[in-house]
Amino acid sequence: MSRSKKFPTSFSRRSFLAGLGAAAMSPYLPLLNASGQEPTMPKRLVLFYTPHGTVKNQWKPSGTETNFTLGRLLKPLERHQKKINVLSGINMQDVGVGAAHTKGLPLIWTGSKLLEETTFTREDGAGGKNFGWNSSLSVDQRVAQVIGAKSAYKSLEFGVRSGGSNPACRMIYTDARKPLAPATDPWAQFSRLFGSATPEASGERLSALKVARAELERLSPKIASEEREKISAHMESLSNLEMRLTATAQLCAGPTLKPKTDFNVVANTVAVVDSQIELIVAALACDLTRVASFQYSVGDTDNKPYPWLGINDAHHNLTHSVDTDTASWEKVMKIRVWYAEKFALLLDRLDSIKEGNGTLLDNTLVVWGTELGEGRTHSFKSTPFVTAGGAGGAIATGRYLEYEEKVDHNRLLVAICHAMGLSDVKTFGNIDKGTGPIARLLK
Amino acid sequence: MSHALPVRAGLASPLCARKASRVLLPVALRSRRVVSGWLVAGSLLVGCSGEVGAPLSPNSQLADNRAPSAPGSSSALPGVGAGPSATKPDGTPSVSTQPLDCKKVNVGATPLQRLARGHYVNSIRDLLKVTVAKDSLPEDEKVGAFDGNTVAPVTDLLVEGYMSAAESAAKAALPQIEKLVVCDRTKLGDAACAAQFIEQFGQRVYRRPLKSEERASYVAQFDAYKGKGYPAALRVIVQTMLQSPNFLYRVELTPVQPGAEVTTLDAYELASRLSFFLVSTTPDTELLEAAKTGELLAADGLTKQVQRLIDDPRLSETIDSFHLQWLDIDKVDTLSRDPALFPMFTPEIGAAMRKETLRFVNYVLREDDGTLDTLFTATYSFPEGPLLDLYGLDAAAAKTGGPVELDPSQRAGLLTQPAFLASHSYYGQTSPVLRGKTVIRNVLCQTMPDPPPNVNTTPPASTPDATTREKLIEHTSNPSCAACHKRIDGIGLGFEEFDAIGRFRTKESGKPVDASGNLMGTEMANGAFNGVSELAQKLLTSPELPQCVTTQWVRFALGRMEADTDACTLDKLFKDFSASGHDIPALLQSIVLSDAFRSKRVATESAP
Repeated sequence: MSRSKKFPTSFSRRSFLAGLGAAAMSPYLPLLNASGQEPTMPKRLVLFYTPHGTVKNQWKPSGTETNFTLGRLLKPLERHQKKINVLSGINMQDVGVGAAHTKGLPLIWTGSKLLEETTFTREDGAGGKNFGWNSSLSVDQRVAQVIGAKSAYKSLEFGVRSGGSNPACRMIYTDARKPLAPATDPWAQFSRLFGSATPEASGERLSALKVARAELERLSPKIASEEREKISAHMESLSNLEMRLTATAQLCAGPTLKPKTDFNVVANTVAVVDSQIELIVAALACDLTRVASFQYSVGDTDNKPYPWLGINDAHHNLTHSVDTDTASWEKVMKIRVWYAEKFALLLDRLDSIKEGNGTLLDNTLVVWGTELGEGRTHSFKSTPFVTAGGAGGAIATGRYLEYEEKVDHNRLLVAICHAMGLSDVKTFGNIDKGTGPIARLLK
Repeated sequence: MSHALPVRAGLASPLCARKASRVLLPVALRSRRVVSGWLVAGSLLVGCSGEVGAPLSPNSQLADNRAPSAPGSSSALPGVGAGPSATKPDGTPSVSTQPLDCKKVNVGATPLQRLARGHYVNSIRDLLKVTVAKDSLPEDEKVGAFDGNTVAPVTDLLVEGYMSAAESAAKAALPQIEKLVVCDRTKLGDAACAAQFIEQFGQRVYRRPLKSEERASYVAQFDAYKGKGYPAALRVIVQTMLQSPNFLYRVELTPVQPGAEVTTLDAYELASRLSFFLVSTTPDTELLEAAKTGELLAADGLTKQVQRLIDDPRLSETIDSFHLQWLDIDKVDTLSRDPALFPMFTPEIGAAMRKETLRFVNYVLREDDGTLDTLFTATYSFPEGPLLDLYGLDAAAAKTGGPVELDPSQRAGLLTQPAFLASHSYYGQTSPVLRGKTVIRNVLCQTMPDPPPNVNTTPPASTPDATTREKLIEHTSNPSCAACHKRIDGIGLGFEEFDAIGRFRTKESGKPVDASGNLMGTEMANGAFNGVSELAQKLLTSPELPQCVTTQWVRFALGRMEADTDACTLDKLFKDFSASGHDIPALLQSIVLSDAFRSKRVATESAP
């Protein structure tokens, strides 16, 4: 088997397979039928997050569903206009405990509220009750249960400035109280995904893993029953690791990242964001995973400066500026345009990978969300969403869809499930009051 | 059930031999404070729309049979449990209908805790003499204000993080790996020395002796890897041990004991709790030896070990991490400030602020009288380098290296230190809201309801040269904001005599600073005050602050939030703390000797 030096910029799955031995196919290429003749390219899902809502009148497109002009804040997406949908006027339901930014972040993808538990005291400035982790799983994890089951990683989470271990900083959940922290150091993540351990090192790892698993098994019955779930989650992660260690194929050498820097230093943020985007695209192209998410900053006050944009004020504070403070609002716009540029970069890279008759982007559904409608009012009405990619033909793109604040975002979460092939899903999230996918998005 | 230990058996306060004479409240007043109820942090919602100034009244009866001096008195039960039942759906605290019998041992359940990052890093330092970067693992969950991992389980990413960290640590330790357990290989042979290594080093990693099946798995590993050489085989063993759940979790087994709800910790479990609490790291060999001999379970043995750890230099790590987290000042050295307004604010001055506060709390607790009152009123501190400028002092003031006397009309205690003042400010201005909220939440352990739904939190237009106080006027003129902000800003505006980097100021925007405030929501200290020194004095005359400090230290010590069943323990600790004149080192000892610290709940059902 030959190793490619870089991840492929173009490959057809079948030709790719031709060079692989049977051992290499498993478990990395799960959708293939026995003959290796997969009829269609696999679907992928990417969730993309940026903080603190938008400024609606600068974000909203003008025009009709199929003939529209993007607003100032989405201008960088113009080159992808045929492959995106702008979804305006979707409400998130403002229910449950937690301040707006805190509950909004986990709400986006779970469509569910925070648990009324005492795990956390308020950290975000609003005062108020205690709160717990989110109460249900996020849509990417529901999808991953089906399409990610056999890939090396069921899903991969990437973050930049993504904060501490609390609901205001965690948007992805495999279940109630089970958040997935994003990986924040792209260079460490590169080694994890694309670095290949020597057989010797793998052997040592498997040996350590075996000891740990035996101890967990002995421990479980001896601790309080309500704590055993922690043990079983640990065992599951060890099994996943074992599966990756025993798989022999490493198909890709990975992308070329920017030179390694300290990911925690504010001045390095752009290099970190760009590297994370490269890793997401490479992980999907190499089929290390089919489900990924990218979290830029946190719901709980993005207050680090943006020196690369010449902005040293705290973003969250800027969003609470008075109307007449045009200088501050100009800074907010600059930050939001930069978000769109990074979203466009992700689409550039996805669209540059040829797959079959189209591109990786055509087989992917990318959804961009934020934790509330407008940061300045903390309103959950008209929370902006943008989708990109065709989800392997499930979605018609190039449209501006206006929902006039008459639909909850739980309908969008159901539509995501349907687009990814989970067409039996009727509701999503434990606050869902309706049924079925959002109108007009799916073909 | 009976205790192995008499409560507070002969423990004198070791650090406070030079206790300053203190003016204590009259006995009658003190006993009123004592019986005024245990208002547990984070549990009682102080309604904003109602009478925020009214004392928080107890809402249930606690039969405290150990307090005959207060007949008929009542205490509030904490409304916090460990799980979802802690609050009712409408957010009000649930209240136990069963009164606790404080003659019995009552204790809340301890969740299975995963090592906090600080404890993990310190343990590896002490076990292997190597440094692991804290950043190599994701941030911890919180237990109240403190780092801890009690709810969310590990993930694939974290398991691989532990794997990488263990491999790096074992690799870095390779040069000295044979010296970790001294053994004469030429005399005894590799196999015997490896067995000794597994036994002795394993006991330190696992914080208890290895069980036979655990020993066997490492012996098997040695046999599998000895071909690579003796040190390499030990390296594989070490990196495996560091991935063991018995290292990564603070394991306390919960045996089924028919008829019992509570049992005492075993000696090794107690050794772990003691060590992580008092010195923020894994037990040392002396503590493990005291567990092995059973000395730790005897009154004088425990006293001896507590005394030793309190005298240990590593107690400072506990003092540091408690105060950094309690007051939320851990990130003061990474703050940024508008250079046009605060040219003196640099990373160096931020680091000096952090260092000042840590030197101060360590000095008060270890060299001065150790009291809460001194923490909140001392007029000395430890400014160094660029901080001297901020205080308006010249370099000569700090040259002795000892405490520096500050202007007592400006500075008194922790709340007037730049680390606190700057941490709770914004980039270009102070924040009375952040400062007020931190006092309410962290210092007084009180919480408030959310703002009303759909409230427009956009600040009103204001003239550019308005003072911060003037900008906040909408908070109290708009009724939907006023209910809570009267209380928050009432405290926070009293801090206006300090700017966003903690400098004392008499003018803002050319106008004289108004540092008048109004304290609400306390039992005995409500009313007007002027400036932070007066606020601190006022806070010390009401029970909320010492109760909160007691609660915060208990959370820190146990790594969990308090439960209903901890009420007797908390009540007693607070009474002891009050009686000691708010002696914090004595409080730490009382916590170690408390039911909650030395006991655990047993399983209520049989294993599957």
